[in-house]
Amino acid sequence: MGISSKEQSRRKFIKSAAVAAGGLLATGMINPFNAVLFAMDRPEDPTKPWWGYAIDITKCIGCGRCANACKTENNVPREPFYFRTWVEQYTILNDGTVKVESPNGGIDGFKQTVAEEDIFKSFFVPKMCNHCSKSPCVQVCPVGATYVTPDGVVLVDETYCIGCRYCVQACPYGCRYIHPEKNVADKCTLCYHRISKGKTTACVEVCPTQARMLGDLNDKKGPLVKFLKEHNCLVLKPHLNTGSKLYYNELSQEVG
Amino acid sequence: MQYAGKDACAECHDDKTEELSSGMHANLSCETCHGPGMKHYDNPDVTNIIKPSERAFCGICHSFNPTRKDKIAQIDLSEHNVDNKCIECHNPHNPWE
Amino acid sequence: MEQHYQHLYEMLSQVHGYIYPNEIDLQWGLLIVLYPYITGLVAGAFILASLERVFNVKVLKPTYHLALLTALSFLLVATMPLVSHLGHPERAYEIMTTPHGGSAMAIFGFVYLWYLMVVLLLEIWFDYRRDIVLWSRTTKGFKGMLYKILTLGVTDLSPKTVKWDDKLGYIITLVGIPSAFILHGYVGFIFGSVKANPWWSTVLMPVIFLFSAMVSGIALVLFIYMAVSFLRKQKIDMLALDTIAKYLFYILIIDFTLEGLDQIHRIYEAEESFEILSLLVHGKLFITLFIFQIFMGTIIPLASLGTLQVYKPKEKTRRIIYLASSLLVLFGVFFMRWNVVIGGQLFSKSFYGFTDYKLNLIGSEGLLMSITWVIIPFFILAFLLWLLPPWKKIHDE
Repeated sequence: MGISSKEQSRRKFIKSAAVAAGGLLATGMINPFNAVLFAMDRPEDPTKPWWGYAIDITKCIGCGRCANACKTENNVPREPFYFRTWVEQYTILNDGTVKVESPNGGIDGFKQTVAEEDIFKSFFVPKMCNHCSKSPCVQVCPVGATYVTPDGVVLVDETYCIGCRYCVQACPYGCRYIHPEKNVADKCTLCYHRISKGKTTACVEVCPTQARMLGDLNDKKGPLVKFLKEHNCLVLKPHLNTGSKLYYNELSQEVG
Repeated sequence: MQYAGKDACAECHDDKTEELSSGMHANLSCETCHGPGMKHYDNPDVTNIIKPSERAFCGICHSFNPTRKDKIAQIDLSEHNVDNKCIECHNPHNPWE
Repeated sequence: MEQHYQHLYEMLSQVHGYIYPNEIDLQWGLLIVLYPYITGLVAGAFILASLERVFNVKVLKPTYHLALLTALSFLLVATMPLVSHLGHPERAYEIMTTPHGGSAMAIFGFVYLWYLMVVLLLEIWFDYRRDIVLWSRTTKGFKGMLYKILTLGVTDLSPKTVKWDDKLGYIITLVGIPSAFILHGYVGFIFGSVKANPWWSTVLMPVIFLFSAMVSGIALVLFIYMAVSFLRKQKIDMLALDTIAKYLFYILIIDFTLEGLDQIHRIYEAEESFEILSLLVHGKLFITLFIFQIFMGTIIPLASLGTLQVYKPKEKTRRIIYLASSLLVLFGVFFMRWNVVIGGQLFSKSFYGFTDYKLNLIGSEGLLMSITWVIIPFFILAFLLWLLPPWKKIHDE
């Protein structure tokens, strides 16, 4: 008599399934949202720096010193196909057409070929890595060669990257490229070698109009947080939920 | 590192940074115009920093472009004092002096 | 390097509108188009084979082993386009040693190995074991030695053991079906999960990839069965051929519906990316999408195979239609991959312009290299058919 082996195995299955489900529920309740959401948001320790960046579009004059300094500081190939940062000139004509240009990333400056009377609006927009807190490029790297530092900088380990280019596809902002000689993914490092020694990034250093600002998002009394408080800042492509830490003051909706 | 930062320049060239702070170029870093200065900072007697003097250089910021609006003083390089270098009239460390 | 820059400067002059400066060069070229194409053929051929084994569609018997061996031939080559396109192929092992859990691409190594070792190799071994043992006893020379090695020492041919061969083979085929779905489905997910690219980012992507994979795999087996029978001067089993063509027709309908749904949805919602994608589809992708993929690769096969469901002409005509349809489908599915991979990179993520794709003839990412990767599986298949000929099997299971 007793239970048949089939019955026994059925009970065992139900039991283990129940344990598994219960465990899942318990874990979910401890950290209800982090259990489900991907990647990191604000770092745990508020006393450590969490790097952010602001760009004031009302101040940028499109001189291209930033793009030039970046290439010098970081040994980026000078050919016009590899940029860690670049500047775009937007010209919106009276008839509504939007013209965007970035000759050599803005390093040689800009010419305005549209006649002044036809211009409805125009402005310069510097671009660079947004050092996203929910970075899609970090998410897709198959070997973990690209990662976020505890202080919020997205970096690439060039000794580990296999050059599969998935991160380049995943970045919505076009800030990544494959280094032509090293054959690995490359991008803005927020001059990590400088900022971890108390200096500022090369682009911020040379900007003549203070259009660029590096800052600590964890420093509630610091200049970056103050800037964010006093200005209406937007990030690029907010609908993609990248957690971008690059804030633009006076970002116009034409900017892609 | 290629760029030393304004504070590094001020260590020796405080007269220039002093002059700069009183004029329109006060908010510029030395290296905005003089280029990367770390090599010069490490070896001032051996490596020199660049001292750009051509008109086209000033034009990088100051040539007329309607997109610049009134954020910066602009001139038409092909019209304004074409026979002279900019620095003959404008002190780069205090342009309106 | 100079040549590379030369090529890029030329492309700079081909840019329409505005692209982000870093977008000038396409990152994923023909080699990356090939990978989903090849794994799609594998998954599709396998699923057709499993129809016989698991769902007992007996009429497909003549093509069962052929389908398996075809799947194996193509799978062996499948990694090559991927590894050869890497910036650092010598570090490719990292994907196995330190896979990053968040990345769909990271599961590649495991899914591939699982499918190769456990599903394909084991299934073929269990299916052929009895014959390999018998052949090892009667064949001399190099071939005989190969057979002896392949027996892996398991030479027991008692009825009980042979029954186990069958049982295990059945279980593996059963496991193999979802494995085939994952093998190719994850590739669709790799594209479908890239939110930065509106041409790729859709829930339907893995499903579309899977169904077009099945379509291509079935078409491939159809073609190979006809080719092999012709080369061996054997009579084709028309019932099998008709059945395969019927499955091709049904799956092609589903595939067409899914892809149509994707586009209709995109056109109807007309969200932010719609304008640039519209320009893409009517401009740079017009020929490869409307003419190659849709008209030649889907509509014509659908029409001809569909007609055959209602009106059945004589054998010879049917064979010609099947041959033409299978080749057109293979052609069309290749361009489906092309339109997804290349198409997705032709427009700028700024939505303000386009770049161009220039295919080189030579070089590791060139046309000749890609053609090589597609031809090699046929050589492997020829070798496998020599070593494990389905028609010489001593006992059909």
